[in-house]
Amino acid sequence: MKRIFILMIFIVNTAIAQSDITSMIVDVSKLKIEAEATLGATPYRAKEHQVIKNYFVGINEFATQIRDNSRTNRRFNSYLSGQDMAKFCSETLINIENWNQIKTNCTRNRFFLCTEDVNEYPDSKKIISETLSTDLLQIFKNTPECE
Amino acid sequence: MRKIILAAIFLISGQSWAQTNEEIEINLKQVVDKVSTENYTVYQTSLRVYQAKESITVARMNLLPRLNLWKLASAAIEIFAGGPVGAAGGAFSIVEDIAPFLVPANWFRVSQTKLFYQADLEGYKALWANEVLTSKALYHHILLDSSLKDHILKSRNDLEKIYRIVRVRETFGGASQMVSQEIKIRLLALEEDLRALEVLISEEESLLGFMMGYPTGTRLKVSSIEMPDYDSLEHLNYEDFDFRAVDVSPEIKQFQYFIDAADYARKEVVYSFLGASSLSRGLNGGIFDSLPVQTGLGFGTGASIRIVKTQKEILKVQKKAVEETVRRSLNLLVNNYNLDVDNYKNLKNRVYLAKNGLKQLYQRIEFGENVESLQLIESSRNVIEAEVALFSVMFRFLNSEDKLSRLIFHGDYAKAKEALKRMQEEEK
Repeated sequence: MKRIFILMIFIVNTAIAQSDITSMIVDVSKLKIEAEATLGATPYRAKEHQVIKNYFVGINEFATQIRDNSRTNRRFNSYLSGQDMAKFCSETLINIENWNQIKTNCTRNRFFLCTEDVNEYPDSKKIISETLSTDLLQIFKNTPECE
Repeated sequence: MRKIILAAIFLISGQSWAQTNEEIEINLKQVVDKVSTENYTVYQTSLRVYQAKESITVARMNLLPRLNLWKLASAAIEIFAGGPVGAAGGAFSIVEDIAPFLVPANWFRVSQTKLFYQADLEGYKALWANEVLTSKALYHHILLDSSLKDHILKSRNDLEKIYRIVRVRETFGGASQMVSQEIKIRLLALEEDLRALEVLISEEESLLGFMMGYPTGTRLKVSSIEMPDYDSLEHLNYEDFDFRAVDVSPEIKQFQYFIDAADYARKEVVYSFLGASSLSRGLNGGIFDSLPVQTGLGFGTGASIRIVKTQKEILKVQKKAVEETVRRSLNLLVNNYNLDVDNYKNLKNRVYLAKNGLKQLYQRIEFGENVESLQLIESSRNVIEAEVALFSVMFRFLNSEDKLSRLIFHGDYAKAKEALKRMQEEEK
């Protein structure tokens, strides 16, 4: 009886942990969809800037959270082990072409006018890759969607 | 220890400069670098940031038990001799020392000091940028004033030429005595302008030297800079810059950290019945020090909470005011920049016409024609005024661009991250 109770607690705990990570990823992917929809709406005004900022701040916070919180890091790795890496990357990471497009659209009169988080995007991606286990990192590096 | 060594190096380097009196040639890049590392105000602020960082460690370490022998002794007496509240009272009185981590207010203070440290970092960034802006503006002014000086020297030579012509005419009866006097007065006025400019340039160089951390007496020579292609400059649009200026402003971010810290100050009041914290909030925490935190659950707690909430509202209003100030500065800057873009073409044309007019008068004199002396003076004055106005606009462009870069942290101001990183490395 005691063992069953402990096992149940473990299962519930794992389920909650997985749902936490899933909800974090879902949040980021929603922000990504909005940012990509805004990408071509030039010249960017406050509304577009805010949408773009939301995504880049979101991905940065996500990266920082999985780096700084060892428990979240473990959960993230465990989540990715059961997931398709290409699907994860395409849902959460803006590809390099779109990022360059955003950077170009952010520049007017030789001034960069978007949030600084746009420029810090490669750092966020690097943080995410650094939190991965060796096996997952290898898959991450070999997946074109994650470049 | 590392800080002490750095401070010693800072002072020794100052001394070594003091002993030399040679002219130092500087460029804009060096201005930015030296202001970042050796400006007195920037260095002082970096030390304050260091204090704020160490305050986090103090607050965190103070969560651990500490030994207060007198308090232990008085608690023991209370327990054994039966004090006002007996053994329990004696035991609880030493909780704050034996187990300060049990006092929630202490945890809230740790969270506050972390936020104040972040606020200090933003404050450092703002101050660094302002010092760089002022130094660069000084550099531009030295260049402008030097150009004006050269221009006045040239104008004086031209006027002396006119003076000689007029004197010849007066000798042969072709002009009245009044004209040469009028020219002489203008020549003397130009001499005064020259002397005033020399003093001004010297003062500007001295101030720039101070801002770069050079000791008094160091002679600086500013290198010329590459001027922008003024003809290709276009109007700026306020809406383009509005988001970035507000988003990147360290002054606004600093207020946001204070607002976040206000939440912890409120929790501190709410949980004050579990004990008040005696930990310091650090330098910036002064804004919350006057808030009434009850030392237990009393009738004043409700009012204390309302006061903290109001404090948060005050901070929000202040943040909004800073936002509006940033926007207003940007708007003013864009308007002036656009005005200068429009005026530049006019001024260039004005200089061309004025110079042409004077040239024609000289040609007429060379051909032996009778030219009114006053007309010659007026024409020369037009050239001087037009050229001075053009120079001023050209350098105003440089300052406007730099102010804009400061507002949106572009160009040299993008080095703020490096400056922060360097400061944080020095702290370690």
